[in-house]
Amino acid sequence: MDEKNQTTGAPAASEADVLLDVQDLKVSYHTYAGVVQSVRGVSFSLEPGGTLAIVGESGCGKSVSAKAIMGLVKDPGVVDPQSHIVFKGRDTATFTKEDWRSYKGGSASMIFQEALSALDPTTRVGKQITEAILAHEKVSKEEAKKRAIELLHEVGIPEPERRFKQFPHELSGGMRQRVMISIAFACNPELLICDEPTTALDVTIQDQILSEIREMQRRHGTAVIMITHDMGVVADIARDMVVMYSGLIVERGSVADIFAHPRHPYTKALLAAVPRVDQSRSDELAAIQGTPPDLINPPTGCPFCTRCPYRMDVCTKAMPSETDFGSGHRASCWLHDERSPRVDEVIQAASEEGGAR
Amino acid sequence: MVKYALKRFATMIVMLFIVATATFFMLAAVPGDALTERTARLPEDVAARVYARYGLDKPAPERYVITMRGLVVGDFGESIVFPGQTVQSVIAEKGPISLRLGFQQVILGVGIGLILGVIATVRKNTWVDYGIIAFSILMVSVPTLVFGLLLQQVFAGTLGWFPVIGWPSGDELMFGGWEYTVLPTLAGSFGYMAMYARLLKASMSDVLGQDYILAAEARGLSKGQIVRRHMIRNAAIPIVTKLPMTIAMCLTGSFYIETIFAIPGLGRYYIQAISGRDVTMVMGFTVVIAAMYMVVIFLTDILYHVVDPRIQLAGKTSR
Repeated sequence: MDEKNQTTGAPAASEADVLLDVQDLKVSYHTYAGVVQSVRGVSFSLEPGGTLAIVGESGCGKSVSAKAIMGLVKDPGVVDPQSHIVFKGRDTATFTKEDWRSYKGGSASMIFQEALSALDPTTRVGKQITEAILAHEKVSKEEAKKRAIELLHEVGIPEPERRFKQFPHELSGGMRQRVMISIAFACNPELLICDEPTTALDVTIQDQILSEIREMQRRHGTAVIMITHDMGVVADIARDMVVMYSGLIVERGSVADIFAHPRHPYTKALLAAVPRVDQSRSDELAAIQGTPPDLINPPTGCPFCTRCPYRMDVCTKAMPSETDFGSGHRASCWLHDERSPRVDEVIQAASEEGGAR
Repeated sequence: MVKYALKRFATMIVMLFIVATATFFMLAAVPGDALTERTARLPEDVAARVYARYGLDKPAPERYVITMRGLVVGDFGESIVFPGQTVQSVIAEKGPISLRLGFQQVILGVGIGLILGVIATVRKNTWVDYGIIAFSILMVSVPTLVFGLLLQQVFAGTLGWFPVIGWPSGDELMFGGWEYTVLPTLAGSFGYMAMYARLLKASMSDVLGQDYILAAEARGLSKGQIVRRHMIRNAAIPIVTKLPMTIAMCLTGSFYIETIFAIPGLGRYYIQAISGRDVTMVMGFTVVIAAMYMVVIFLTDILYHVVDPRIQLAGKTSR
């Protein structure tokens, strides 16, 4: 990977080839139980046309990060004022209401996990596409309708004229997600955030939807952030990935590097949990023991220490810093600290054990 | 659609029959009748003639057959308490009064209720919201009877802005004579205000948390567009089901309000008929009211389908 394509390294790349630069993003939710620190300082960047996967289990803050980038964090959620989300060199914190409106759905759009709940049940699908077009461009209603039908055709919906007039409940699950894709691409966005777009679909449809997203991305030159917990999706679509755990990025790098040499015990465990075709049916599926930490009182040390098989004393006491493994591959784990004992053996053994394939 | 309507119509006939039968036998089971007091001091043969005039001398099963036969052709019979009055004549005379009162109450109550509901949603978790909810709880908790008397005391008594009792009649029956209608309308509308404010707030809050609202925002729609295009229609579903019932309720008149403000409406008459054991009138009114409710429920079901296309009417094949 050459320097120009690096999307996950430190946000140091020159502004020209960075589409989105997220720095120290913190989001918290004020609840009766206390302040839930959903995202606790996340930084990454994305170049125009690039694809980044954000991976992690439920509640790790990946969806909240996506919402923050889209400006959709709602009360009781609060984005820390020290956070910076810089889109094409402009900090979204300086956006006016009008800027936000042209950004949402215009420059940046989002595909949601469940198309059924993300489409208004009482509005015809066609209208939901045209209103996205009409919100951003000065075109006539007929023109918008023509464009919408073209879009439906483009995402592989047969009989687009008929589908245009139908209600969401009259479409199949895959078709609904295609409608969501056509809404997302209605105004040629430069950034598309997909929040687990295939989780609610069955496997064959998942594949079709992913190819549709990839195809649309290629055609429109859109940069994609793919939020998922499915390693198969990551391998399929992304070039770079970040692994999130309890509101923090624990590992980042190219998908190839991370799949080949996962450096963080959590990444290793995630990869080991992927079911394999050659696995015997009697074998139990690998799982990560324990539960993620409480984000109302996050641990002072490494958040994964309670579930980590390689825990050391220091892990419970202090946050590890990022270790660079070259070409943008970094992980935050004490095992890679130079003061840590027999790092190489532990990692080697772990790689063989976790990724023995 | 036609098949569905026919099916519903058949069900309505059966239900009306059951309502009429139940009402008849319940009334027949009550000891004493409308003539007991009137004939108490009359000689026996005169009393018997009075009974015969109203057909109350016949045994219950026979009266049942006569009554049901009358219902089929729309002849409910003559009032026992007020000679010469029939159900039709009473409805024609008192119906417009209750109708106007009810409509004014519903328009004011539902209108203000919906506005309050929207405000409470938009200003959620502020003192405005809390204030509206506190007001609603107070309004549903206090009986209309108390409101009526309080309003009379303050605005008609102490301040003297409005007449204490009475209702416009003659030319002003349906329009005009507003000073008489203000207090009764107000007293009866508080309950609707409270009910609709809370109903709309609940359904708006529910809709607000839905993904499609977030998705609409992510599409770049303005707040106003989201409210108009996506929130109102979805939040209207529970309102639409409640509204026809409210209208039906207002048409049948409100006993307390009509009594306190001495309004000669249907609600007061119905209660008087019941306490006077005016069997024919009670039967007639009950059947008419039941029929009206059934039609309203039928219309509600159709309205449901109009606002929410997901709801399919039975008998119609989906997709």
